[in-house]
Amino acid sequence: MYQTDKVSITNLTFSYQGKPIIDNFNLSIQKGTVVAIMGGSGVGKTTLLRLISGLKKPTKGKVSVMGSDLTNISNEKLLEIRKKIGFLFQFGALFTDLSCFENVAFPAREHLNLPNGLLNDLVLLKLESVGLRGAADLMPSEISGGMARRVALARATVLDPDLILYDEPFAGLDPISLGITANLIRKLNDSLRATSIIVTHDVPETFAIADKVILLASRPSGAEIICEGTPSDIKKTDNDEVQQFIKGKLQGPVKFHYPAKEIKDFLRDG
Amino acid sequence: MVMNLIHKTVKKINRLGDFTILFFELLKNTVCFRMKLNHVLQQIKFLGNNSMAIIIVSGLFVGLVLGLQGYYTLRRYGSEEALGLLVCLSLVRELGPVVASLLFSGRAGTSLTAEIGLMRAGEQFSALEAMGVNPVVRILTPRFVGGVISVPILCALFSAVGVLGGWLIAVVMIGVDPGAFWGQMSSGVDFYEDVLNGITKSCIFGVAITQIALYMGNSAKPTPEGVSSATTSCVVISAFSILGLDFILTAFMFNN
Amino acid sequence: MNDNLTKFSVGVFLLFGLMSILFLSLKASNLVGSSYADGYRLVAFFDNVGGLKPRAAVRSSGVLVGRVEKIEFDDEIYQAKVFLRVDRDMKFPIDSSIKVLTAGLLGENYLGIMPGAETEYFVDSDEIELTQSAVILENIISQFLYNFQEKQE
Repeated sequence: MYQTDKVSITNLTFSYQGKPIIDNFNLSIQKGTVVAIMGGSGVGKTTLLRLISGLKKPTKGKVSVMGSDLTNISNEKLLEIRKKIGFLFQFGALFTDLSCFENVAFPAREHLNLPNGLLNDLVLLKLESVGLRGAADLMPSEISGGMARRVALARATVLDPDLILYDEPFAGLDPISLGITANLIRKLNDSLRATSIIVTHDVPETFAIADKVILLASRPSGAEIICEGTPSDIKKTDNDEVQQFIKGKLQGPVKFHYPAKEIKDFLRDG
Repeated sequence: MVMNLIHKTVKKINRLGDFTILFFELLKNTVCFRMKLNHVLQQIKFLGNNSMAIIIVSGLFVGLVLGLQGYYTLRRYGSEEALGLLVCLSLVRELGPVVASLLFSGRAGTSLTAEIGLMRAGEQFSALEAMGVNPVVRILTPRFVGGVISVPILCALFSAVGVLGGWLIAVVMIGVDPGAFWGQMSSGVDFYEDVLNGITKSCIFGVAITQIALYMGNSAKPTPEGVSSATTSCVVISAFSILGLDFILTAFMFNN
Repeated sequence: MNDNLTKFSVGVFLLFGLMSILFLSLKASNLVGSSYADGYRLVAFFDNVGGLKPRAAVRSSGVLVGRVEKIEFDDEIYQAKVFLRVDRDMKFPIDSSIKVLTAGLLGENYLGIMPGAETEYFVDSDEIELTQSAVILENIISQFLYNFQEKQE
């Protein structure tokens, strides 16, 4: 099991300001797969992603990425691992004072010592793979949100990472950009022979490209896996909470109203 | 109520600790030259060059006013000849370092705080970390070095322009004897005790206000309110620090 | 191109700063000014030097002819020992006297040399024998009060 696992999480616990967000969490992700972690807003998906990338440290438990335990690692080893992980932030997180070209070139400049011509070619090729070679000289403020996210994707993959993490890559995109982005995620994963983890709550696009889906739900003791499997498995399951989520039903285990006094009593008593 | 006060005090002390830790980290990076020259040059241009306009104009006006006020006051005792000395000493010892630093913290300090705060809010710091780049080395250290280099230069510029402003009003407009103006000044202003002390003050102010600006930005809450309150705090705390340090340094240096 | 522009503007900025510091040091302060370092040295003993400081002026007829180099306390004869340097071209007779004077209202002390009448001149390391100490305000007041009291009686 461990040889084919890219990411392995054991008994992970993480609290923020006293509230447990993740408690005794276990997860393993196989090499070469596109895995989607889904769930309602605020359940802890982004936190999980940050724990996997080492941006946050867990209170208890072990996060093992590409064979190394992130909770117990030297700074040099962490740096080596970071070079092989690509992270796509929710709105791109491009450096606003650099052009698109410079943004994509950034990791290459920091970690590799390439001659200028080679660097130039590498960056333009990466931009070409996301369809934005023509926008290389534009500044982040001059391109749309969808385009910015694609540039960020080029930046995240410029060093040909083995593991790519996506934080809500579909949030706020128009239908065409949605399709393009989903397509890119799958294509890049396969061509780079990488492993991808997508945190999202966009059901149709994700189900079209994911090999495995993990559905999280919020519980008082922290997030809990309520379902995991291939997209077709998930669609067939008869768990009410899962069905409410994937079909977007108004009625179901997750309530519409925030807990409050009954409306009849409220109107009568004021 | 008392618990609240204790809680607040503990939080403030935590912040002070954070501040000191950041300071030592920046100091260590500076001393070990863990930064690229290009980045530092960019920051000197951004913080220093772009502040030149306000410093020169303010320095000129302060010098003009000093000259005017000084003339009216000294005339009462028949000591107009000491005007050059008065203007230069006031500028070099006090007004140059203090006023120029206050102006710098208002102009460059706030832009540093806002920039860093917004970079944090836009997850640029996290992006750097995820790429294996230390944001303190890449973003904060060049700005620290840039600020520390720029402030003494701006203070010297302020004092020099102020002296010229004093000369302009005293000699050119009022008609005080230029020989007496420059002569009394050059014999009365001591290089070691006045000029050098003024430069030392401005170096210390530079370190303080750059550090405060960077810390405020770094610890700002990543929301519009957070950034705006951090920017305000930067100016207020910088002002207190400048004036407080000025008092301590003056008492320490000018006690002959 | 952008890079070069940055380097140039930073260079200009640093140049301005350097010029300001040079201006303040050279024109506006007393760093440079005939230091009389190659003048000849003289010594004078005073009962009280008042507020005389090193690098104070040494004048004769109001003209600057030298600078005070060092002031020490001689604990064998219990007097102040002042070393001064005088311009090499200025010759003073060996019976010249030296006084501690006050310049203007702001009260800076300087030394004034009154030339004597001898035909022999001071040479390096000579001592000026005729000295007059600084006027100390408290002494004048107490003297005045003493005289006043005496007159009363």
